[in-house]
Amino acid sequence: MVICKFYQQGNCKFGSRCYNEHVRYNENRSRGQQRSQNDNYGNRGRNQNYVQPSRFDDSNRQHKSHTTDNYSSPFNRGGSNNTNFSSGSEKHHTQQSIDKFHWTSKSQSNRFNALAELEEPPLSSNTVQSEDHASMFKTISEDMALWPSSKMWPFSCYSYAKEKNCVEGLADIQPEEIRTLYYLYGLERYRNILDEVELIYTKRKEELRYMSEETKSSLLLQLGSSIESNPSAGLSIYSLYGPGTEFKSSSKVADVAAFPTQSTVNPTVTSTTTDLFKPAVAQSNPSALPPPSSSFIQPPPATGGALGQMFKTVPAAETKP
Amino acid sequence: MANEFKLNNCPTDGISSVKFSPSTSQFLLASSWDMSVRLYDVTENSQRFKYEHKSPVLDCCFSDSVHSWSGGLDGSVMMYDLNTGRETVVGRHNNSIRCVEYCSDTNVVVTGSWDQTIKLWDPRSHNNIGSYSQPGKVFTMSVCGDHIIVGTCGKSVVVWDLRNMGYVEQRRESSLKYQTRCIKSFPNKQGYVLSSIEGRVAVEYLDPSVEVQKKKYAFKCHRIKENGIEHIYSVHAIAFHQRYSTFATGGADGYVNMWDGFNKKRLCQFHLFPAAVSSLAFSNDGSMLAVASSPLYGAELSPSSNGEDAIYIRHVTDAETKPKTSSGLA
Repeated sequence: MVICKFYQQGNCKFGSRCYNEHVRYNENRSRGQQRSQNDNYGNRGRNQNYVQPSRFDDSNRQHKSHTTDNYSSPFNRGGSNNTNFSSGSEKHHTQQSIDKFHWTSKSQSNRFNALAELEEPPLSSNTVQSEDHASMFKTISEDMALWPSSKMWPFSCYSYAKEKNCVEGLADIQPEEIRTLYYLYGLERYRNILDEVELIYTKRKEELRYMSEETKSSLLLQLGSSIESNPSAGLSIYSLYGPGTEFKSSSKVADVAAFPTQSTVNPTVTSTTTDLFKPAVAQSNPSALPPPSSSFIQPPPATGGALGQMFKTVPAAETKP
Repeated sequence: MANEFKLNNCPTDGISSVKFSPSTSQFLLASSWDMSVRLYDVTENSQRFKYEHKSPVLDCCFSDSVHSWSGGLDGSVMMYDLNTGRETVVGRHNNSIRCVEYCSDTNVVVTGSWDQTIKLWDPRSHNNIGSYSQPGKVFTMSVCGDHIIVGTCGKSVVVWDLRNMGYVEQRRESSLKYQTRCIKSFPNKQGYVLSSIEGRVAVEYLDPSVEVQKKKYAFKCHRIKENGIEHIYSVHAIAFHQRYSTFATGGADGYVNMWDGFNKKRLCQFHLFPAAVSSLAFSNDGSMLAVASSPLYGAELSPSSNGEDAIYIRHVTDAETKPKTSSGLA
């Protein structure tokens, strides 16, 4: 396999996903490293049952200070960065002032204290930043390209690296939520809704895959902000149903007959796909239990309008200082 | 196979969750999209009880050996007394209930919902002890000693101290890039295992200190390469063997793998199950593994998937579940 020169510089942004071989030095190949370089699912190499830790390990250490941040200041929701909000956590940082796109070469060379290292010439911060951006775009684009063919669950959030903000436009919906639609609306409507939803996701994934300048700049804007994004926090497919909704068992769902919609909950709601994706807060449920005792995130404001509109909205999550 | 059999009277629709009784390996609870919660006698292979919700049921658990708690799409929390056969609606959420767990350390039942809250319930008085906001819809939960770990949409993971719910103890992000599917905590309570829809599992530790965080890692699993294209399957279920601390993962590919998280090895892979594995549970003594297999949880979204929903009970051996002693590997 080709040896990854970026990894040898301590600067490979793909981590475990890299298609090239990650060895520190060529001589290390015979050095006790039990890891087979091929991450394939248990079928190659002599250590068939050996689960090699994914090379997420490498980026673990770069995110060390980032994760400590979260623990020491639980209410710091702007704290997925080392921002000024964090209190008392600076002493845990081994790597100072790292923002999302600004990995200095120094931070990466700290990992290999035990090994003799090649001296790396310090890179200018601009070069580092644009290289980081370029590889970030590349990662996103490649992940989007792989997604459809891998048959993975399509309605998932996505972040280009672990512990980074989710990319906007891809709401996080669980399979159970989708399945619920079938029990609520019957096969035909279920299929229609699914087609519409799939269209939205496919469109967004293609945008991210083909990376126009506009996509790039809006990504940088979104990911660079310190606001934690949970773009689907309040996204509720079931804006229509509440207590008293009748669910049919699957044996009866084959009936395409319309299911009762909870118009008592929100009389203005029509049964269009649009309304299905209104965030939960838009529906005021009169029989709701009292509001949660410890408020954590404000649900996103109602948007209404086209489905596409819904998925583009980044909720104005409030950061608590 | 003599060591594995299928339960009689399996649910007639997708099986959302299976749980063994905390005190005996004889009884197994199963919740299903057919709106029922059933109790099975595994030694006799018979269905003992069944009670119904008004909607598909997404999770169930034992609060003690004679009480079952469950919740589903209609948001009502139901408790069923296995002795009297009486069901009680204890309370409700504003939206569907996704998870139901019982914490024995603090004697509290926790329900997690798509309404972005978790609620605590007293098993004796049935009172709602509190309701707590989460950063997003609750997708999965796991009790860890006197703590509860909540996985929400948007890859957030929140750790609460059930003895002190005034604030979040830890707020973290999943270290995986895609939607969180399942979280289960280690029996030693040092950490948890988190799986995603992207055929990947992360082993994480709760101690935020730098040295401990270095130990965390992730690995790929439940992927199948066909014609040069890698199919990536969701890892729907995780279950820990309480004595050995090894864990099983079940995926949409229909396979169950046993892993040794500390030595980072796969111990074994069981045979292919007829459909996607939706839920796993070890008995308290680790002698049996319940595998729920439902086509509903397969890769296809179409509701009319072929195949039957079934629960398989497998007598597991030490060879399959016990960590291997190191044999000279570095």
